[in-house]
Amino acid sequence: MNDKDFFTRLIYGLIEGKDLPYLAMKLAQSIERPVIITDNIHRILVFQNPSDLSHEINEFFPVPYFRINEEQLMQGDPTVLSQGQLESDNNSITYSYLPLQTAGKCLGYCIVLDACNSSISSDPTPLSEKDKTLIMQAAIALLLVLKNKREYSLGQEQFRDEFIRDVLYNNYDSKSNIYEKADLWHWNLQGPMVILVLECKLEKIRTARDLIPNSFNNQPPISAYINNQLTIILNMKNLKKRKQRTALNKFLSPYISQLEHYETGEIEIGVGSTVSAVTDLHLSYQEAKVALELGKVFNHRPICFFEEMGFLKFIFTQPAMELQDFSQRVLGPIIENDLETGGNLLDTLRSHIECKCQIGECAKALYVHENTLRNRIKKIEQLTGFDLRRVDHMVNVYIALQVLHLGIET
Amino acid sequence: MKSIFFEFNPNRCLGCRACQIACTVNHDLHSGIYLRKVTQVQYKSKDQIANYYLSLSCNHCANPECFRLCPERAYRKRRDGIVIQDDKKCKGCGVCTRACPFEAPVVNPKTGKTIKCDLCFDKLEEGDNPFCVASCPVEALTVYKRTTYEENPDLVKTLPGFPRIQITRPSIRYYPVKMGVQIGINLDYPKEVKEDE
Amino acid sequence: MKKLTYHNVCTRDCPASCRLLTEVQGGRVVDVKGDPLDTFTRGYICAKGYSYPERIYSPDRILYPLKQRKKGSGNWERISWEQALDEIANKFITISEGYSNLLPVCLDRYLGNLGILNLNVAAFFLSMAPITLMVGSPCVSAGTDGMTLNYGFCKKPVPEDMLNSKLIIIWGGNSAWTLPQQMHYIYEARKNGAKIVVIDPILTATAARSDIYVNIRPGTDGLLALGMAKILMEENFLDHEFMSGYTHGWDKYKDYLTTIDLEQISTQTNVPSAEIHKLACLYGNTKPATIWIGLGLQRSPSGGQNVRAIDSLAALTGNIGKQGGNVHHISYEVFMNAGELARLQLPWGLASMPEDLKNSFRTIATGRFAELNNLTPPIELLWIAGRNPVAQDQDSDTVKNTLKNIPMVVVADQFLTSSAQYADYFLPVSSSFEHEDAVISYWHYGVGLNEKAIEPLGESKSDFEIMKCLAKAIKKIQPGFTDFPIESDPRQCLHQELEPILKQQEISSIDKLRRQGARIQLSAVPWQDYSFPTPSGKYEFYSLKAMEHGLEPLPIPAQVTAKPASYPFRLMVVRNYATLNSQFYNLPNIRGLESNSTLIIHPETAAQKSLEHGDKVKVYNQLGEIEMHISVSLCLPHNIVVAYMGIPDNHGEVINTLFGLSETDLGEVVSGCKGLTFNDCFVNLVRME
Repeated sequence: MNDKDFFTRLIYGLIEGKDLPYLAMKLAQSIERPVIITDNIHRILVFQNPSDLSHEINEFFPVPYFRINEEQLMQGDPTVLSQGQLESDNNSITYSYLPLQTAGKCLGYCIVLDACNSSISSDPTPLSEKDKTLIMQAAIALLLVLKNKREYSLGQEQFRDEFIRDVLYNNYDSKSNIYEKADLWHWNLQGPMVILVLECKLEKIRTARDLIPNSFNNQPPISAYINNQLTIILNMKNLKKRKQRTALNKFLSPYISQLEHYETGEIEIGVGSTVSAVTDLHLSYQEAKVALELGKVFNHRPICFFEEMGFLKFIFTQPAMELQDFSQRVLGPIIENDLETGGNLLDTLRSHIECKCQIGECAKALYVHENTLRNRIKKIEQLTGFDLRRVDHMVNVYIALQVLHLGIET
Repeated sequence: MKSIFFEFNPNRCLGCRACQIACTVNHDLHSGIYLRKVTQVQYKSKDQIANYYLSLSCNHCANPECFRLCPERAYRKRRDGIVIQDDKKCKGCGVCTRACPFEAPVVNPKTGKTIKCDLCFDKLEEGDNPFCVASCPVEALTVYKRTTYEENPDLVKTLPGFPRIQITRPSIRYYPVKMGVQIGINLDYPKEVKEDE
Repeated sequence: MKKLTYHNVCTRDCPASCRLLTEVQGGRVVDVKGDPLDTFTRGYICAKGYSYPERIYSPDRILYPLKQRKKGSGNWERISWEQALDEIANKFITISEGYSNLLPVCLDRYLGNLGILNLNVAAFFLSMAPITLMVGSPCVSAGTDGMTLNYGFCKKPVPEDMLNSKLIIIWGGNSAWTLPQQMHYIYEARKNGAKIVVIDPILTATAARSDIYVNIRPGTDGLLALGMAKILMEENFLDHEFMSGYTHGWDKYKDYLTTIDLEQISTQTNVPSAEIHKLACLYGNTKPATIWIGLGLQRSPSGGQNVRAIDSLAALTGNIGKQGGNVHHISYEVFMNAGELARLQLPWGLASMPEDLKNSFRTIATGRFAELNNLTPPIELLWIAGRNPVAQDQDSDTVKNTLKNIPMVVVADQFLTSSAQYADYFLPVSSSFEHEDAVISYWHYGVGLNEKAIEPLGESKSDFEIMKCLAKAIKKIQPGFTDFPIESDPRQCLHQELEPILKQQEISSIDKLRRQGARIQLSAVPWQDYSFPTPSGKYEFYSLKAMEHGLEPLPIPAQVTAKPASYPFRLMVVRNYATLNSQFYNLPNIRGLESNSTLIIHPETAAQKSLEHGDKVKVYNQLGEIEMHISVSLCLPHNIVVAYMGIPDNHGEVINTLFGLSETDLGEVVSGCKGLTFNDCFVNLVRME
C-alpha cells in the first residue's frame, strides 16, 4: 500500500457514508497505535484501539493548545506534529497530536498514543517518517468530516433552539405539535422537568454549551441558546422532590468546575421550579431567569434556586427609597459604629448568618475566639435593638442586609 | 434571530403626547385608558434641573413577568420578541397589571379584559411603523431589529425615572440625557422632588 | 366595508393648520391622520388632531337646537330649527322696529374655527344695518403693533428659513407643545451647527431641550433686550451699514442705551449681568441669527414695547433681510392674497370697509364685557360664534353677569361651553368634517381644501348654513331686511375666495388643492429690499407713532408691576400640549392625560403651604376662587404658579375668574383696541382639608 492509496481509501470510505470511526480505525491500523479524535473542547469523539493496548481513557483527553500554520498542514508537513504527556493516577501516557484547524478555528484534535505495551518495554518506539505522513493525510480527511459536522450541527442547533424558544415562550398551537417535533430529535419532553439558565462571558457561551455533561438522570440534557443565555432542560422523571436538589448539585458541581477550567468568566445559574408537563415549561423558564437576576442582585452565586428566593422577590419589587430607608434604620447604627471605631461588625453579622448562626463555625471562619465573637454579637444586638436568636428579629436584620446589595443600582 | 427593540431619545422628545393619543385612538380606546404613557421626569442634578419625558408602553421584556404570572397562559412571546396577549384566554384577573413594573397591561373597562401594547405587529409585518413611532414629529421614538448581543455602545439600558429593569430586562434602549446650560435657575430649596413618577 | 379617504384641514386657531387624511367607513369617521404631502407638517399631527374622531362623536356634543328656560340654570329644552330661527328672526325685527337701528345687536366672534367660510358669520352681520361689533384681538395685538411700529408692517420669514440659522433664540414661546412640527426644523438646524437658546420664566419642554436656557422674570423681556442692545453697542457688534442706511432714530436710541445700568437690568430681569453679556455676544457673533418671539411675552403690560425692544436687536446686528436671520413673530400678509371673506380675518378687517359704513358701527373692544352693560341703546341680542368669552376673557364673573343681563344671547357651537351655559339659544354647529371649507395658514401660508367627509351629525349645520337659514327666516318676515346671499353655494363661495391664489399658483381648479394643497408664495425672507413702510421709510428705533399712542417713542418698556403683598404668587396661564384654549379638554382621552388639570407650584411653595403633590388647594384673589389639585415641579420659580389655559377647575369653574381686566400697552394701532394681559395676575393659595 503506498501513501496515495491510503488517502484515496479514506476519501472513498467517506463517499460510502463512513464516518470518524472509520477514519480513526484506518489510521490506527496503519500505524499500529491507538488513535483518539477529540472535539475542540477535548471531549473524546472516537477512540480506536485495535491492538487493545491497555489505556484508561476518560470522557475527556485534554492536550496543550497551540496554533498551527495551516499552510504546513495542507502541505502535509510532518513537523507540525507535537508531543505531549498525560499524567493520571497510576500511569502516564505519551502521545503525538495535531490540532485540526481550519480558517483559524480549531475543530478538534487527532491524537496518536504511543504504543506502550507494558509487557515489552516502557520506552515507546518513535513514529516513523511514514507513520507521520499517514497521520498528516488522515488529518485532512478528519478535518473535512469535522468541518461538515460542525456546520450541520450549527444549522441543526439553530433549528432546535428556535423550537425550544417557541416552547418556552408559549409560541405553539398544541401539545402534540411539540411532541411531534421533539420526536425528530429523540427528545423526551414528557414527565416533570426543570429549567436552568446560565450566563457567563458572552464569547464563552458556546464553550459552556459544549461542556454540558452528557447525561442527567439517565437522559441527555437539552440545551438552547436564547437571548445571550444558555438554557438547559433537565428531565426529573422518577426523582423524588427530596432527591432533586442533590441530583442537580451533583450534575452542576462538576460542570461548574469544568466551566471554571475553561475560564468562562463569572458564572450565574438560575434554576426554575420543577413543572409536571411541557406546557408549563415556560413557567420554569421565566422563574429560572428571574432567579438568575435575583441571584446577581442578592449575591446568591453561582446557583440561585427560584424556590429559595420567594420573599426576596417580593422585597425587590418594593420602591427603592423605602427599602433603603428600612435598611438604613436597621443597620445604620452598625455602619456608623464601624465607621467611628474602624470595626467590622457588619462583616461579623454577615458571617454569622452565613454560618447558620453557629458560633463555633463562625469563629473559625473569622479567625477569632468564640468569646470575642459572642461579644461582637452582643454589641450588634445593643446597637440595633434586635435579639438575633429570635426569628422575627432576625428576619429584619437579614432583609436589611440583602437590601444593601440593592444599593448599587442606579 | 433578530428581536425588536424600542429606541428612545429623551433629548428629542417634546412631551407632546402625540404617540400616546395616536396609540389610544387607534386601539379604539376612548375612555382615558392608555397603552402608552408619556411621563415627565425631573430632578436636581448638580447645578442643573434635569427635565425630560419618557414615553412608555409594554417593553416586550426578555423575561416578561406578565407571561410568567398569567394563570390563563394568555401571553406568549413571538420569535421577533413581541409579547402578545390572547384576548380570548384572558379572564381579566389583573395579575399581570400588578406584576408588570412598567404598568403596561391595563384593564379595558369596555371588555373587562386586559389589553396591552402588541407593538402593532400587523403593521410591522407590512413594513410600517407602529402608531406611536409613526406619530412622533421628531423621531424621538423608533423601533429597530437587532440580534440580542449587538448592543449599541452609545445607548444605555435605563434612565432615572424608568422602573427597575433588572428582573424583566425590557427591550428598550435610551440615549443618555443631555441638558443644556441653565441660567438664572433657583436650585436653593428644601427638598428634592420628582414629579409624576 | 370599504374605507374612503377624504382630505381635511384642521380648523383650530393654530399655526400648523395641518392637512388631514380622514378615513370614513359606512359614513363614519374611523381614523384621522396627517397628510404626508403637507410640506410643513410632513404628515405629523398633534394629540388633538388624533382626537378628532372622539370629538366628532363625543356624547357631549349637542346635535339639536336648544332653548334654556333661565340662563345658567341648565334647564334646556330641545326645539326645532324652525322655532329657534323664527324666534331669533323676530328679535331682529323687534329691535329694528323698536330702536329704528340694529345697534342693540352685537356680534362676538373669533377664531374658534379658521375655515374661510366661517367668516360668513361676520359677513352676515356686516350686511345688515350698522350693529355693535366686538373688535380687536385677545391674542397677539400688542406684538402685532410692536412689529408694525418698527417695520411699518408685520412680515416674517417662512418657518423653514430657521434651517439656515446658526443661532435660534426662542423668546417666550413653547414650540414643543404649541407647534411641535416646528421643532423638526429647529433640530435640523441644530444638526447643521445652530445653537438653540430659550428665554422663558418657565423651564418649558422647549427650554429643556435647548442648548442655553435663560430663566427670566416675567414681563421683563424688553429690559433684557435693552441690556443686550447696550452690550451689542459697547462691544461693537453693530451693522453700521444697515444702521446708517436703513434705520431711523439710532442716535436717540444710542443715547438712551448709554444711560441704562446693566446691574439694575440684571436685578430686574433675574439674569446675571455676566450672562447677559455672554448672551449678547453670542447673538452678535453668530450670523445668521434669528429670534422667534412667542405670543406669551407680549401678553404682559409692556408686551408691545417688549416686542419692539427684542426686535431692535435684529436691526442692530443687521440680521434683517438676511436668510436665516430676521425675527419670527406674526404676519397677516397671507390673508391679503385671498378673497374678500378671508380679508375679514385681517386684524384691520373693518378698516377696509367704506369710511361712512365703518363709522356707523358701534365698536367695543374685545373682552370688555362690562362696557356692554352700559350702552345706549342697550344690547338686546348678542350672537357668539367661534368664541368662549367666559373661559377666555378676563374677569369671567363679569362676562357671566353681562350674558345674564342681555335679553337674548345666542351661542353657536358644538359643545355646551362655559359661555353657552349663559345662552338663551344654543345652535348646534357641524364639525369641519361635516362641511366643505378651506384654511389658509398664517404660519406657513399653506392653503388646504377641507372636504365634506361625512353628513352633518344630528341637526347640526355649518355656521355659514346657519347664517343663510337665519337670513331666510328674517326675509320671510321682512323681505328687504338683509341682502345676505341666501342662495350662495359654499363651493362657489370658496371658489371666489381662492381664485386669486389659484391664479398665482397656476392651479387649474379648486379640486387640485384637495390632494396637493398649495402654498401662497410670499418672500421666504422678508425685507430683503430694506424698504420699510414706516413714516420715515426706514426701520424705526424711534417711532412717533408710538408716541401718538401714549408710549415712549423708543422701545422702552414701562416698569414691571409690583407684586401685591396679599397675593404673593404670580399666576401664569400657559398652553397645554393637548388642549387649545378651552377646546378639547372635555374629551376623556385628553382629560386622562398626565397632570393637565393641575396648578403647578414650586417645591418651596409646597413646603411653605404644607402641600404635597396631588393635594387640593383653593387658588384665590380679590376676584374669586377656584379649586385645583397641585403638582409640584422644579421647572418654575418659587414665586410663580402655573395653570393651563382654558382648563376648568374641579367644579367646572374657569381660571380666568382670577384675572382682572388688564390691558397691554399696544394693540390699537393695527387691531383697533389694546390687547389683554394674561401674565400679570397675582393669587394666593390655601390648602383644602
